[in-house]
Amino acid sequence: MSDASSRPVTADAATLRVLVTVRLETRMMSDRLLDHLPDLGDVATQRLLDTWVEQAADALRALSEAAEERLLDLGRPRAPDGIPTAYAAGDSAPSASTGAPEGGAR
Amino acid sequence: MTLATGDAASVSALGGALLTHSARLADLVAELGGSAARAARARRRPADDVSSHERMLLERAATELDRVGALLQAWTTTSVEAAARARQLAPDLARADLVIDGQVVVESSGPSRVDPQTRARERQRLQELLNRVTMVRARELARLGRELRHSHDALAAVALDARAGRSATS
Repeated sequence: MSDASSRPVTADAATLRVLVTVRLETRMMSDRLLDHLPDLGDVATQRLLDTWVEQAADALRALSEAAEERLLDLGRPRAPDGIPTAYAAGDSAPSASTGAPEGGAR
Repeated sequence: MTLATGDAASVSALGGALLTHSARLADLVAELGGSAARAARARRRPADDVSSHERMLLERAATELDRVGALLQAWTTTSVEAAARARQLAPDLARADLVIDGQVVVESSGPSRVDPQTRARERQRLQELLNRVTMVRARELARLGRELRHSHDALAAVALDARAGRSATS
């Protein structure tokens, strides 16, 4: 988020709320990915999968950071009106109603 | 009898989680897009799209998670089928005092009452059957490896662009 000067300085509350959700949920997805211990039964491919999972977790973390920086760029370091307190900056646990449930395949 | 097939359940769990995450990322893209559209209509200024960069990044990440999630689910099916086909060889292996060691049919240790010629014939026949099983598995593993390498690079680019604050092409 280095080109703040070229961006609008305001955003509607709905966009801010979604950006807060993006920040929190991508961070949680990143953490959850690293909890998995898949076993492919093949050393070489297993190594590739482990590296991929680490990269995917890093990319999700980067998305979370990007959303956080966007919120700061928009001049809203605090939670906007209407956002649940669980989504306030620095809180890593979202409310149950807005979280992304993890489960089986679609 | 041992044919290394890994743990299909653990791979399936990761694949399922990736597909779930991918779907959620797509939902977030839609939510951001909807907010941006409403804001643009309200202000009558289409240029005020403050989340286009984030939407693009989320889309690219969702695509990769969906692709690898689907591949891992497919791999799980291949792995389970390979194990089942290998198990079907068990009765014939036992009759000829043979076992599977890795991907090779070998004579079990100790003396055998099976005629040596019959045993050698069976060993060759069962090895050919096992080869068909392991060949499919090896082909799928190679494909998975290629896709993982490609997707790794795509995700590295997403992370780089997210941290650089620019929306480079994927």
